[in-house]
Amino acid sequence: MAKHKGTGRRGFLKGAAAGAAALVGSTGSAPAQEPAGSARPAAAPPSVPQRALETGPVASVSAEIIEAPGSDYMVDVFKSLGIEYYAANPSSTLKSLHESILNYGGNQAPEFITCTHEEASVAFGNGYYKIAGKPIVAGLHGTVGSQHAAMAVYNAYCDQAPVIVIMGNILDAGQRRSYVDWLHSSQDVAAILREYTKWDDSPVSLSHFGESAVRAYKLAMTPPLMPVALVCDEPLQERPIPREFDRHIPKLGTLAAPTADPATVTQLAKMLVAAESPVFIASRCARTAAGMKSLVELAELLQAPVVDQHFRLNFPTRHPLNYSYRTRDVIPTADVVVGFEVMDFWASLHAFGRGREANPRRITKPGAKIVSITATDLFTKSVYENFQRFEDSDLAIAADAEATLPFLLEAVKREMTPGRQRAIEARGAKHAAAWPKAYEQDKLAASYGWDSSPISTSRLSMELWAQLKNEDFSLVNDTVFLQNWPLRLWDLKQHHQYIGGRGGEGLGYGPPAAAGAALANKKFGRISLNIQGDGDFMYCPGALWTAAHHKIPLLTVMHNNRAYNQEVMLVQRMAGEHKRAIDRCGIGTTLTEPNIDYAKMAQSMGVEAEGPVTEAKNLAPAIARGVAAARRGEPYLIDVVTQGR
Amino acid sequence: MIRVACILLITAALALAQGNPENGKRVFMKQMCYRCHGTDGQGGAGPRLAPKPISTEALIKYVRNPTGQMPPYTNQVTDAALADIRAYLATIPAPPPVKDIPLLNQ
Repeated sequence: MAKHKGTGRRGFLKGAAAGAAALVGSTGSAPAQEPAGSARPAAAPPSVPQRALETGPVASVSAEIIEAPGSDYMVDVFKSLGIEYYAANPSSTLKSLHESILNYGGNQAPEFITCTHEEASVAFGNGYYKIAGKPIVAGLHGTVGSQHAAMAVYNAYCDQAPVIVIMGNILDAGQRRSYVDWLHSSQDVAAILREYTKWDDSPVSLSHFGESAVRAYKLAMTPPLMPVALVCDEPLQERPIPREFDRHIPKLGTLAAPTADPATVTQLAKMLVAAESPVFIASRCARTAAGMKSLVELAELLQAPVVDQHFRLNFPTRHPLNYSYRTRDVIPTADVVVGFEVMDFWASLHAFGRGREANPRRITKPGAKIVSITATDLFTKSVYENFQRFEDSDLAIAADAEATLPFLLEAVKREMTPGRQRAIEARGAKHAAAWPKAYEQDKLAASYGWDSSPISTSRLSMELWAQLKNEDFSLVNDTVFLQNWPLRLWDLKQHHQYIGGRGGEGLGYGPPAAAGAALANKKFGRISLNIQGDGDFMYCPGALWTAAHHKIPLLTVMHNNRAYNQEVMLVQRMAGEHKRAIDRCGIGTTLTEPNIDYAKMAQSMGVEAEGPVTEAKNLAPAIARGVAAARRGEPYLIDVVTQGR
Repeated sequence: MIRVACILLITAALALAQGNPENGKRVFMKQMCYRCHGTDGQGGAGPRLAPKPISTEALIKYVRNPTGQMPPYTNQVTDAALADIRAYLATIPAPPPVKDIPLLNQ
């Protein structure tokens, strides 16, 4: 993406005249590409002066001194909101804000984090939020930067991760100085993000900006948490702050999450105390450590099994009530199922048949009561169908689960009777007896292929656990493509130890989101581990440079199966169903010939790295070096050649 | 004549039952079975196949008409090649007992 250097008004007039001349005689309907030798006249290319505006040095114009540009006030607003970081690729439409952050704001709170792609800037904020519990600002350059960032915004939207997106633009056509300004401007630049942000606005004055920025923060941080977008018009940044403007910044105040009403909470408490086999399902229940603590307390109070779907760490992995990977042991026999911020509640309660038609069937027993508590019922958009299939629940509570849990706990305690207490204790004993057997089964499954080359994902996971179990660490990417071994076998008890993955399942998330989370972890002296798939990595490897540049302690361990393995399997399935060659399904799905050298990629960006590691016996020393580097506050990458899953 | 035919059939059946593990490994890799089942049949997205694989007859029957997410291999692999795959899977040794793997007991 090209970025143009700033020019003065004189430069604009000169370029505009030349550009107008160049456009004379061009046709408006020619296709973008013409075959070689076509007689059709080509569209006129940008003129020399126009190209100079885009690629040359800043034009020599009369200097205009502006001692207090509007962007200084914008920095004041960010500071008032406690914004620690501004992640961006440098942008001409945000250049005044950029400069104000550096010099007026002292490049502290917010500090400029240099990203190599707008997708990375937003993903960085997605990961950062899940550790820090608050948003960053991500700067996007006009139309093209917003287009780059769109998928990452969608990921954050689906992941209920607030990011404050600032979009550069030049709304006033009279202020645009080159053809590039026109290319990168829009009458409604936020439109591209509108269907997957909670709110957006295009302020036309500084007082408007201040109010909208505080409103944006408030909306982003009120459950359901989501990204918001604020257009930051270039002239508004660059013009002086009007003398009459008092630089007032609206007060944010304390934000309280929406909770269920007392009567409904009591109704649910009665159901739970009376239930013989209640089950809890949680996706993003625990926004914070407090949410995890409350869910554990409620589960123990009722001895209710918990299915953690791991979009956050909602429940300790080795807790006897953890049934995350044994759902069929509890859901079909449940008489009450409560979903706490469940992303896809319907699919949690159904099984699919084989074949073109889904042929779903409900797996709960007849008469089972279904209850949902979710803030997503308070805010749902239409176009993108991340809201999932409708679940016909008996009680749908539109409220934030984490904020409601303390009230539910108190209500359950009130409703408890000695008789029910004895029954609940007996239930707990059964679960406690079942868990060790299930854990032994997982360990046995992990042992198969223990010494394989390529290295098994279970071996990789346990080699990592051996060296991290005594560290304060955080697993900052998901584990779905390595059979979730860390969540099945590691002893994770703290909310920050696992933060889930891509909300919208869009690739290009891992490296930048991990870097953002790792930066948030840095202040705690915490090691961040990213077990990183190779396919996702190749979307935005530049995040490694960001980690090196900003000295972010991030240990990246490549899960390098040299393929988009999911797609290998899917295309194999198609070939099988079509009775055609399955051995050709590596075409378009594998990352071989040549193999990618991830260690060299990392080294080229200033990240110490090693690999490829192909033998399991060589893993331990490599991991030791990686952990040592992270302890020193440095990023490190280990390229591990792995099994498909 | 009948005796000769019977001998040939028995010989073919024995060959099918025994299989050629080297060729089996080659076919297992070429057909990318390892993408789901692991290079040593240890399982992954697909179920574990080794050690102690199912019988050749059961393997052929399942591969031709599988359930779950497995693609049907109706005509891409011969019965003899499937017998070879089974022979390859049969050569894969059992892992050490879990109790003898310190990393799985931490």
